Amino acid sequence: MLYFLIIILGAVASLAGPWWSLPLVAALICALKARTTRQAFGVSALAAITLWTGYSLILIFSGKENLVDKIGTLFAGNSAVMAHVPHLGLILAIVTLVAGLTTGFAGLAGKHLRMMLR
Amino acid sequence: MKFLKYLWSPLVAIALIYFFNKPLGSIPPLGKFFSPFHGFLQNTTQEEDLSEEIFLRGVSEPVKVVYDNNYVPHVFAANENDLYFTQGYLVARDRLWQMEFYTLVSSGRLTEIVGETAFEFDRYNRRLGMARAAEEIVENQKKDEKAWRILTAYADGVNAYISQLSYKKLPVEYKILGYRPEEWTPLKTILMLMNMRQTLNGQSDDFRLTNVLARYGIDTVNDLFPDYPSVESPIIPSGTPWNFRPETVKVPEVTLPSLQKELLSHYIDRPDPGIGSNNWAISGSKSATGLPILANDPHLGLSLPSIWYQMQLSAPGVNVYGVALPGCPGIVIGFNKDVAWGVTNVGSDVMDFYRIRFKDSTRKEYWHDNQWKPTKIYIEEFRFKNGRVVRDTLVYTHHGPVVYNEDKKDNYGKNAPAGHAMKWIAHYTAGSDLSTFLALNRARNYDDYRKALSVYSAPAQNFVFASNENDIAITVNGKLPLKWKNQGKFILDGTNPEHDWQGYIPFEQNPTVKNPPRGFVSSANQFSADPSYPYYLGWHFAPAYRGRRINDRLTRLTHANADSLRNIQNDNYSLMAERILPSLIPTLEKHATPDMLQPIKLLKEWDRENTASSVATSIFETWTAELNKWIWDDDFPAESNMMYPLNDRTARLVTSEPASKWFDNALTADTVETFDYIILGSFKASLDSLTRHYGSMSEENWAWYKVKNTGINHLVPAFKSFSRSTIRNGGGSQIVNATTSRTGPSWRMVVELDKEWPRAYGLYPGGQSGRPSSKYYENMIDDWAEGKLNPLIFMKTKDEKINNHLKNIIINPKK
Repeated sequence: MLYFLIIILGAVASLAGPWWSLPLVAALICALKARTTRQAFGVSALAAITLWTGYSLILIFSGKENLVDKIGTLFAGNSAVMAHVPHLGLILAIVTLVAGLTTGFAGLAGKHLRMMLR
Repeated sequence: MKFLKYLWSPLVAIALIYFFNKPLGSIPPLGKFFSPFHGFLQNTTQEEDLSEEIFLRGVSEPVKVVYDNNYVPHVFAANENDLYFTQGYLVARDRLWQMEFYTLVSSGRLTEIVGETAFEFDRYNRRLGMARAAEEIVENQKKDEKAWRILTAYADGVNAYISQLSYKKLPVEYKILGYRPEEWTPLKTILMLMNMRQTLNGQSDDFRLTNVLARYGIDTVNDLFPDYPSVESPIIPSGTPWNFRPETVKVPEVTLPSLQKELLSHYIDRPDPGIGSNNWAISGSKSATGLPILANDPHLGLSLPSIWYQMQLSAPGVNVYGVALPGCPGIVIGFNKDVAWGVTNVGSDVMDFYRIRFKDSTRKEYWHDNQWKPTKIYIEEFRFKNGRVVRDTLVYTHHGPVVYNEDKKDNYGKNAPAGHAMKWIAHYTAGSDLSTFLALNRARNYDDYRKALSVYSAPAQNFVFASNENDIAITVNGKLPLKWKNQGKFILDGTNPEHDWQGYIPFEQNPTVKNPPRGFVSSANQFSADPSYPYYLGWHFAPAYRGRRINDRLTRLTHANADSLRNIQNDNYSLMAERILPSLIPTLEKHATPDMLQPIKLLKEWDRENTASSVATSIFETWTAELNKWIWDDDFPAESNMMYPLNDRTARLVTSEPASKWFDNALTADTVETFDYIILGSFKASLDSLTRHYGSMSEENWAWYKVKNTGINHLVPAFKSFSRSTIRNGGGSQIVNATTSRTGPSWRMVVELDKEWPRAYGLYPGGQSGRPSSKYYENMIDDWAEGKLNPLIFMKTKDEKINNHLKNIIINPKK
């Protein structure tokens, strides 16, 4: 339930607001709905990762244009090690890291603030 | 305690958001950039942004835009304001980042987007005074009601697009570099044109040649750096009468500079080998249709997004097709129903340096015409990406800016001597280059063409012209300074008023020819006219090879069609090889070692075509570059800030002066190197160099396209994945198909004039869209490399049915 709420409301907020609308939404929802801190962190992170990687994959595989290889090459730079990482993997790893960390901690923060105020 | 227990996680969350919201060095803000709702992935969804109907405040009547399937917009507006508004809007839509980038370059503001690395480059561009001149041009343009109206309508169109842009719609370069577009203004259009002035007119050899003069004296300069080449085919055919009484040019008593030692300590880069543009028009007597055909391929540094943008612009009073510069209203090279025109650069000497005698180190006064005169001092402010502000003092004399005050190793502009003021045509602010192009867009005949040209100033261009009234013409056009012979060949004396520029050649007396008996006009950046022309324009232009080859082929041409001219644009024949190889090969054969036999055989059997797969071309081109060094580097070493004699002089040396003292290596006191020694040694060295870089000799390894290695880089060269490298094509620097590693034909066009409706063909090495993920980003490159041209769709009316139709859009007025 929490998981789907974050995904749906997070998506709506992201369409209108800045990129950090998603962690903000997760914090709010977790303040209201999360039962444990562990759940607040884990579900928020998972929901955010689902939403961002999911939407990224839709955009990437909708077959219109490919920017993943070009951006992946830019980010891999001249590093020989990075040259062996598939571009899609590299991009999704960054997406996962950014979405998971910020939203996970935001969810936890929501729960913690609620506990503090009680 | 409770606080600490619960407050750490909000702090971590905020810190993370803050961290991912900020650029990390050159890495863009990761949160914004990788959010699929906002970041770069949104840039892959924009193709269909262009809905069938849009509403914009700024047009007064509906504007119809027809896109053909090469993504070329054909704009049909009810009035001129709507036309140029729409042009601004559409060009911005496809090229906004690029057009703003050019303006940041010419106004010296790159530090604001890339940081300190651009500082010396910016500082040089500021010191050239381009932004200041651009501001003056804008003030002058305000007085020209029509031009100003068009400039502002265009700017309004660009701004209508910018105002729609949320972060997620920004071109991806803005996202990577982390900044936003500014409002567009007429000043930015002029800054864009200023960029062209610098690209085409911003070079000078005065400084290097003065060092040669100081070292070897005037006799050597006259011998090795003559004022006219031994073989030439000038733009205005020899024998064309000059039907005017020339202005008098006063020659001062002292013309040569006093020679100072400090100059010799200055480090300068070698001059770039010329990048070559071609244009020509043949008269009806040479064409199959009996009417003229015109061709143009302007060559520039190759870049992505491309420098050109194809469009058709139509409104009452104008219907024109061609290429526009992103950021500039109108069509620069193109055709309409009745006429066609094109340009190549004039290499006249329009940048000179004056040695300034300042009263003291404050540089507030300088000596000129026997008195101390006040300088003007400006403080330039540079803002770095990280917020740091650096100030730089810029001193102006009446000549122009003092480009550098002191000789520092990291000064970017290696052309510019310290303590020397620059007199440069790019600072000329009267006239209206924009009006020239706008008038050409509307020209109906030869008289309109001449009238359009009369207000043009810089960069001077060879304007070729053809009309369906069977007129062809070419005019070497722009403000050409009135100079005494060799004025500005060396550094000039800034204290002597007789060394000042004395005005400009009147427009009517600029070299021009209409319907010459030979049945064609042409230019390839070579000498504008032979020495019978009464004015001095400069002591060197592009080597004659391309011009001669074009003129040879056009002379032989009969019953030509567009494809015959396309074929000449792709001519790969090396006249330089024809000229010098017969003098070199016997020497090679005399001394050949076994490993040289095969390469020599290839050279002997070579058809002298610089084709993509030719191995002989790789050997010849590598060798002649090496040979040049072997002959000259001992006498004019790179570190000494001198220059090598030019291509024509070197060719004369190797073909007819084998006993010349210049073959002896001045650095070896006890031996005398001979012609044979230099030829053989340089040949061996180039074979070694080719083997080292490309492996052992084979058709695959040493193919010319690999050695030439033509690449088209994104304007930010670090964005390697937005660039194309090692394009498979032929050509070379002295070839009609003048293609080098970073330069080449930036637009190729052939137009068959017609009484009814012209037929035209063209393409450029790139694509209409500036978005790296678009299928129109580089879709023309492969055809370009093969020398093909696309038929250009020139619509008669907005409702005409066209083949290769993509979609229509209507831009409606927004209430």
